[in-house]
Amino acid sequence: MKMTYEPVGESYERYQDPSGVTVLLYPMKGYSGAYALFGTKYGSIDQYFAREGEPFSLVPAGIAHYLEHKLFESEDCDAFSLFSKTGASANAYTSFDKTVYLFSCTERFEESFGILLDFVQSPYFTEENVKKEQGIIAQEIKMYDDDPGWQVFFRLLGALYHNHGVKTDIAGTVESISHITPELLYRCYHAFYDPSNMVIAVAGNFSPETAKELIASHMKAKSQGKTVSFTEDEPETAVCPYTETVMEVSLPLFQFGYKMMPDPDPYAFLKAQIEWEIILEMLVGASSDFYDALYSEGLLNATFDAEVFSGRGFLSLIFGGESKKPKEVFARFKEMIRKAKEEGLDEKAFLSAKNGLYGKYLKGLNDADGVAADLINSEMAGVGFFDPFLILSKLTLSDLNQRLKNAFAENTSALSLILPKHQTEQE
Amino acid sequence: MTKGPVRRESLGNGVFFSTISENRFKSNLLAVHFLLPIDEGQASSLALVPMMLEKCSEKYPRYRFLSRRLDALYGAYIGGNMSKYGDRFVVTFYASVIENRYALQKEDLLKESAALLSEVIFHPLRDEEGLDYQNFSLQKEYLMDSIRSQINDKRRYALNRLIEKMYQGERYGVFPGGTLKQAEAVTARDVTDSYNRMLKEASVEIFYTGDTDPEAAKAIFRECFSKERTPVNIPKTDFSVSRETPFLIKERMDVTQGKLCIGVKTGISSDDPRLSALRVGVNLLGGNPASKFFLHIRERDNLCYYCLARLDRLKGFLIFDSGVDSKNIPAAKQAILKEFSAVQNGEITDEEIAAAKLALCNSFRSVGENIYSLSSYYLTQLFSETIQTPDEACRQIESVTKKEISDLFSKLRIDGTFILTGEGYEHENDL
Repeated sequence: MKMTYEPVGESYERYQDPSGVTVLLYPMKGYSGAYALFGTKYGSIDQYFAREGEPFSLVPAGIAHYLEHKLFESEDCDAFSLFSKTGASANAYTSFDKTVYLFSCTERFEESFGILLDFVQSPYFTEENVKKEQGIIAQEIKMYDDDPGWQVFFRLLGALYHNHGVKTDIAGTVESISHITPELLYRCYHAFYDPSNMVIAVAGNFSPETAKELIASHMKAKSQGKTVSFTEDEPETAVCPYTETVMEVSLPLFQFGYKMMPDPDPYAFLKAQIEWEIILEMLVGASSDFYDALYSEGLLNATFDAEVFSGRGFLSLIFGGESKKPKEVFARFKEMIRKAKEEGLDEKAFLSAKNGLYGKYLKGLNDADGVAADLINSEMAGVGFFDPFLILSKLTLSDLNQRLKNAFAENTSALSLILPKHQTEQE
Repeated sequence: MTKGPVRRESLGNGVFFSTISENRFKSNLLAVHFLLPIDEGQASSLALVPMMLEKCSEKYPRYRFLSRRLDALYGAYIGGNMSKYGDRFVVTFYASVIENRYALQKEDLLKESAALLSEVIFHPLRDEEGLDYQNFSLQKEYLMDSIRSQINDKRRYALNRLIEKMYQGERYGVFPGGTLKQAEAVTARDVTDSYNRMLKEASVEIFYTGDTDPEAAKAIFRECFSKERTPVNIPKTDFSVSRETPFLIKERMDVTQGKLCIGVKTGISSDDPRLSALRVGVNLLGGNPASKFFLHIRERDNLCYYCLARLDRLKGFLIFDSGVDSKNIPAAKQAILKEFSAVQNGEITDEEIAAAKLALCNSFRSVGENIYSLSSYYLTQLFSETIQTPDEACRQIESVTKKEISDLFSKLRIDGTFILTGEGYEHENDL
């Protein structure tokens, strides 16, 4: 089916291959490179699951990411060396709720696309090659241990979430990955790398006809049925209001967040995300009273950022940066929210933030790699690629005010701090 | 001058305007670059100029007013920074806005964006003494914060320490922003002086990338730069070579993963005919997933999480950059040196050369895929005597032979090593 968004005059094609995989093809005029992604709706949060009619399994934390590393290897060689013969640049990533394999190329698209489709469908796990990966992944985990930005974030998630898998580090721990075996990897692979759970997205300079033919001829397996991933219910309230630790940093790093209850309907969930994006821009963005005041008082610097952190089954608002007095920043934030709820949001600021977001979405169509990634993200979220444009154009201020009114309860929040090793906070 | 898709013309007074006509993007980009020789005395004061200017101006005395204006222009972006290209400081101001064809009310967005950018550059907020003092003291504080926070990113920190030592006593050893001590000593007067000097003495290169006709934007900048200017001569970048006896610096920090960084000063300039051989050699050593570093050190020996080789073409140095478990540092260093000498001895396979050439050409051909990379690609081309399009660079890469690589590498030697380790590291004497 062809999906078009008239105002920018662009479109993409969406269909389901007989194997069950969903395909999105977005050719872009004037580009010399093509980006192809092959992903599965399987991420670090999927630790407890069952195939239809089978018992549930609990697998070690970090296994989705481990599987991603191992899938590059096949019986005779690894996918990287195949790509190095076509000149494509290949990569993969695992997030909370998806795993994606990709390449970009400016020449020989057909060969590279074939390699991508094949290696993702050819798992090869042995005792020896699984054991070998442990060293490399342990190094990766250790690198994140030294990253204050990563630590402040996961400590916050730990304070916000009781049960949801999002509180666990994507790569797991050195301990948890030591329990990973070839048998477990195969079990996860068969559960989640089923074509019905997967999406292929291609954007940039390529022939859609060729892509379709290649998909038809390279998709090996037919869907073997669905897998259910289980998450315990997440209470509305946070686990604890505060967490801190000490690291080798120069200034205190902070993040505070508010946990929200995500709407199960995909379209309503997307609408909530976009509304929050605008509300945050109005409340704490560069044009806001809040940022203006705290910035000129030296309480916040350019590292300050607000994010709508969302994915399958989770939605939080997260605010973070560096500050000499993070607790004061948080107190001032709460005061600002209290007033905003009382007074409501400003109409002029709303129109201006809406304009700004329209430009941001439009610029998102500049890069073929970004388009390909967003195609996969929106498909896995159950919405259309152009839906954000449509939702944005219909937003109303009263919807936003309603949303604001019902949020930011004290007991849904937490503050996470990383304090410098060589000084204590001066508050 | 016209080269590939670029048309460069003089606006007079040492100011050039280059147009890269490109209709594939939804937005366009203006980049105004001020080029000056590296001057240690100005490292901090000049860095404060873009930091201050991007925040407010005469017409928009607070950042929030400027930011509102940007929102009204459909989320336009204005920003400034300072960087180092060879032995030059480059202060850059960007303005990016969606193309006129997407404006909902048919506004001339490029003209508005150029006007806003020129407002920011030429009409800063002032007080009786010079640039606004309040803005100055805030930005100075932020500059000092950012210098202090360099230790937060251990990888970047280790690389900077290595480069600093490699170029100690040379112009290139000075970093944009300067040291904490230099930043602390900067006065508002210094910044005003640096600002005035930048406007008067810098060579100016303006790059426009986009589809909307840039005449209106060009006219705005022609007017802004109409006053008499006296651009200074920027000395040629000095392409020095490695010292006779390599240095070794070790530092301890509370880290779980150690960092091992090795530097090589090649003496090869960006105009040297051997540049393409250098590119291929570095890439096959550690620039792609079929490279020696990746396949041997990471995949086969599991000695590091990342291990890369990269070239700074504008200064002619190589960096081997790796993240290594502290206890494996001696072994990783041995392994890196072994691969380096393999390239010197011509122990290079045809597959390695082929993979490196393909990877390099793929990245050259991708230059045009991103509006920022396209714009800066052609800026850096101006620093060479001849300008190459990405396709021309590819053709040269493709003709490189194994012998050219090993002949060139056999003359290179290590300049020094920087090591960052965690506590409990027992192998002090193995290095």
